[in-house]
Amino acid sequence: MRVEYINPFVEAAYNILTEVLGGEIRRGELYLKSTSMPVMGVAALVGLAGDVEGRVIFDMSLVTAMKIASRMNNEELKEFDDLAKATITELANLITAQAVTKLHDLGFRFDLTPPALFTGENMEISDHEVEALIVPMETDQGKVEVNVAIRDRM
Amino acid sequence: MSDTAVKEADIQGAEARAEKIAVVDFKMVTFSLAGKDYAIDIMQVKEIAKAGRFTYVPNTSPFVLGVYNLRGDIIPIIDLRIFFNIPTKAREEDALENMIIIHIGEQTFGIVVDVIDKVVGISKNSIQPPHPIFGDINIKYIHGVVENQGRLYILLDVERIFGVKAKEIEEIPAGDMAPKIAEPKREEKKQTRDELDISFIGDTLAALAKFYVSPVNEKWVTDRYRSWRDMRPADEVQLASEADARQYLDGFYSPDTGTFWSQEYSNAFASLLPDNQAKQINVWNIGCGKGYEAYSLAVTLRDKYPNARVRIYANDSDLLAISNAPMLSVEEASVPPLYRPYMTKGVNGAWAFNQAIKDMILFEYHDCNNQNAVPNMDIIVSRDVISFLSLKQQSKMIAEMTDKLKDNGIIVLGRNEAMPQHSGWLRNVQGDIVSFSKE
Repeated sequence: MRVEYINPFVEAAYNILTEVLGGEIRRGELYLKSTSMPVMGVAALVGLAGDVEGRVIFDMSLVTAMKIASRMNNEELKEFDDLAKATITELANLITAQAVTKLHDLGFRFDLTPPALFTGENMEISDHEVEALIVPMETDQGKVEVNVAIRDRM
Repeated sequence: MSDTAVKEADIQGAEARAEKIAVVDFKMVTFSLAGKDYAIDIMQVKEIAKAGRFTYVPNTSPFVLGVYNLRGDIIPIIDLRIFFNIPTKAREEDALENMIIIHIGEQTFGIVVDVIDKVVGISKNSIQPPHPIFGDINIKYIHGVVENQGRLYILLDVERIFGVKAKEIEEIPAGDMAPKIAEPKREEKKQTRDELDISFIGDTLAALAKFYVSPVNEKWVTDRYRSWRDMRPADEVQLASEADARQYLDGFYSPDTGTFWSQEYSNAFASLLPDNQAKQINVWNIGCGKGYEAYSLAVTLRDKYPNARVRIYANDSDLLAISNAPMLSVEEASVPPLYRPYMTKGVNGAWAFNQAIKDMILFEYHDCNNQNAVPNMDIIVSRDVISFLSLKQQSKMIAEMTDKLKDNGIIVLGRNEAMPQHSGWLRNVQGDIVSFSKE
């Protein structure tokens, strides 16, 4: 992945999570991955288009998703209902949008698709041999993995 | 020796002796070394086996024949004859050896002896302390002497020999026996020993430095071994630490690694480049590190192909190194004159490349073991990268390069790397640099 794209995503994830969750956010070591990977339970996907093609996935366990949704709504949510889903979708939107804004300032033009949310057990993402940058974020509510796979159009 | 021992036995009272023999409370496995009888307490013997072709382990004492796979357990094999400095017959390549497998505490050893005799039952009381006159074997390894049916057995103290104290004891025989016994054997087998050493060094390089010996670099590894062997003390030929591995690889790396290319290197590189009238020239720089290589390449290619649009895809899987590559800036003093026309001085006094050069390079955080989404290439520069991939990845990478390289393209590897011979590559040498093109 182009070096210039990395920081905006890392910064955006850090900033937004700090802003909406409060508490301490720790970033894990970044790494690259290319095999199909299991999804922890809830995955929000935002597609990217424009100068580049690719997608960003926000991956977390259902428990984490519930806690994050509860925290963001300032109320204890009992089940993963429409409100909770909308909240997680919105979080994905916030982070991606901020990253894209930062990239725009650097001169890269990206468009994003509306987020799609996937939930379920034993899910696996297998996009054929696409190399993804993994940004693990550790929050008080649990682990959120940002999985960015984008490449320049040729 | 046995006369003395018999006298020793005679000194004991005759009646007492009769009583001792009556009770069998101690069993021992007897065997012979150079025609003399020895015994080991049966409680320490796990089993008896015949085996050969032990796996040689470099850099161990001469009495360690190697290791052996005993139904899944890897155990060290010790030759007692060498350990006790008893002359041994020349070993045949595939001959099977008589082995006694012994247990000491948690550890299992195999010891090689001449002939295994039988199990003898005796009375513990009949074991007599060793007499200092037993010259063949260092007295501290002898538990005692036992007489049975007219034969005298020397009962070995295996715990002493292989037990907790093994380390300090081993050092003594290793010191004074090695020159006598091991040396001539080593001479005979010199070639094999060197090859073994090299293959072992190859394994340690992989473990310590992630450097994998393959047809790409084996010529250098072999050449390097000779100078390494001459430079190191005989017992320190093997690599014991990461520092050793680094030292071994010292000299492997290509000129101007991690810095701007010198004028000479740049010129030699330019003279390797084929004439190319294409409007677009694609270059793949695998393992660009901090970016010095990619910028050097950009400047060299700018001079060589002034009219073409050159695009350099520079990859590295080290995030820290490549993060700053797009913004690389250097002190004025370290800007070689060759690069100065392409650089501008920033507000803080540091020099950075101008936009035209920057626009030529696309730095990507990318692991070349993953899918490589690059177009077909005119030039591939991958210096000292392939050697640090596992063998499987190496062949995959070479196949990938072959696939991505245009028919008139060239590949430049590290100074000490080469495409495997007879695999469809033409060599083109220019000074210090070799390029490879498709046959």
